[in-house]
Amino acid sequence: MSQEFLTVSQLNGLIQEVLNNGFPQAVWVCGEIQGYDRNKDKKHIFFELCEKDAVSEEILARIGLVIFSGKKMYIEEVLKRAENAFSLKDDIEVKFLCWVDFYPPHGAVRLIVENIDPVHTLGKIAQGRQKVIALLKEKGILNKNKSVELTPVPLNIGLITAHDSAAYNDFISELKKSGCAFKVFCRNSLMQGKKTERDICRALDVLNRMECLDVIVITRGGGSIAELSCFDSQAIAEKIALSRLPVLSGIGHEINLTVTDMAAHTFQKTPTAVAQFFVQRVRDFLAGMEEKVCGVIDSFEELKNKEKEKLKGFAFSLQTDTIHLLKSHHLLVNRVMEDIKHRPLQSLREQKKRLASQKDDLRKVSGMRTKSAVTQVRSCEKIIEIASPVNTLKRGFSITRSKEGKAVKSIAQIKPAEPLITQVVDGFIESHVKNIKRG
Amino acid sequence: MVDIKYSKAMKKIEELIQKIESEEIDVDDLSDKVKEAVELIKVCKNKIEKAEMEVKKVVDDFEAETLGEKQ
Repeated sequence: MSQEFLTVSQLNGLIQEVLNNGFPQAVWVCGEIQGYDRNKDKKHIFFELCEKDAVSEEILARIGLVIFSGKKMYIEEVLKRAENAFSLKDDIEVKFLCWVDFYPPHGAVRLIVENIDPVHTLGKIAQGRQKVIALLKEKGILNKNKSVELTPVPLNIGLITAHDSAAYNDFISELKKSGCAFKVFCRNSLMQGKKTERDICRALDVLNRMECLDVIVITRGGGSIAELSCFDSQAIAEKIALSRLPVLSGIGHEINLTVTDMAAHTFQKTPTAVAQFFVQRVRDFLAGMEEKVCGVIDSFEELKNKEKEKLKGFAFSLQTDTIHLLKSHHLLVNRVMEDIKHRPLQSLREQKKRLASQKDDLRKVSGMRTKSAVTQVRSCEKIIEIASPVNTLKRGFSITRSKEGKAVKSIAQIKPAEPLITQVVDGFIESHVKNIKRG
Repeated sequence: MVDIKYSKAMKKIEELIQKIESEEIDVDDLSDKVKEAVELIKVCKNKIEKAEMEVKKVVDDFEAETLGEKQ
């Protein structure tokens, strides 16, 4: 080195040579993309990779990169082969295969992107998601919103999406198409990028304070896994868990669920699907109502018919019973009639007989009575006959009477010399009392 | 006499017969009592005959009525 100094270009040339020697091969470098989005439409895309502190998120190191126009197609091809898992954009973690290069005109070290490993990014996203999921599970909040009751008629919807986006329009037009009276209160929010989390959390707070709402929807159109990775947010999941209202998600993904989906009450794949879910729910409710009304009508009809049959049965048995009763009464009446025809006459005849026998009895009894009277009289006659003085006179007795005609029964009745008349059976003897002696 | 009830008349007849039978009745009263009993028997007979006629009439009227209804 005869020269005491180097020109800048000489220095830069030397640096380039040293670097090239030091990095004979391309190396795999991992880091977070920054400044890509604003340059992505340029011919060669210049941007940066940086490494952040895991806790403070402070940038620890950064380096510039370039994807030359010739490589752009190839990189896109690789990403496409990974099923469009993501496209390059700011804030995502990527793994590039790069040549470490020094660009002498700028005196700057830069990495020339040669290839990309999509698996790394996907792995990082999946890892991040798993971490959040594990944490939420531990806190027991992943299923909290699922137990919030969703009304059968969710007509008042708080919508969190980017206002006037395709997702917004899909959602609204699907609801309109149904003809149901949906009311949507839209809260405009970013749906990708770092600020998504903050916006959605605020929107959830605001909509939860609205008394008139039945449900909250978080929705956006389809996107790559990396784009949707902002929905693997712990903060959003926690807000959903605390939400008064059921939260439905419709984050346009195909394969994997985001944490937001998992924490939501119900998830659907697209904004249209969420709208359809509501429409179906309302229609099911209406159909259910109709069915219930039909059921009520049916069971009423059934009851009515049953009662009708019962009444018919009653009427029939009433008729037959009545006929039966009338018949038996008719028989009874006939019998009574016969009895009336014959019985009284019969009993009158009996009475007549009785009367006749009374008459006979009377005749007999009165005959007997006269006979017995005759007998009595006769026996009296006999006694009288025996007692008659004639008969006594016949037997030799006589009756002595005083002059007054009184029968002399005692000596006291007479005095000496008094005349006496003595009756015997065939005449009278006159005499005078000669002597009186006590016998 | 005509206004006497049939059953009472019958009872009286029976009593009279019984009394005559048991010689409670004086011979002086006998003919009066027999006369009375005969009167009562007549009354009863008339009553029976009258009742018989009335019953026959009622039954005949009733039969005519029911026959008329059936026709």
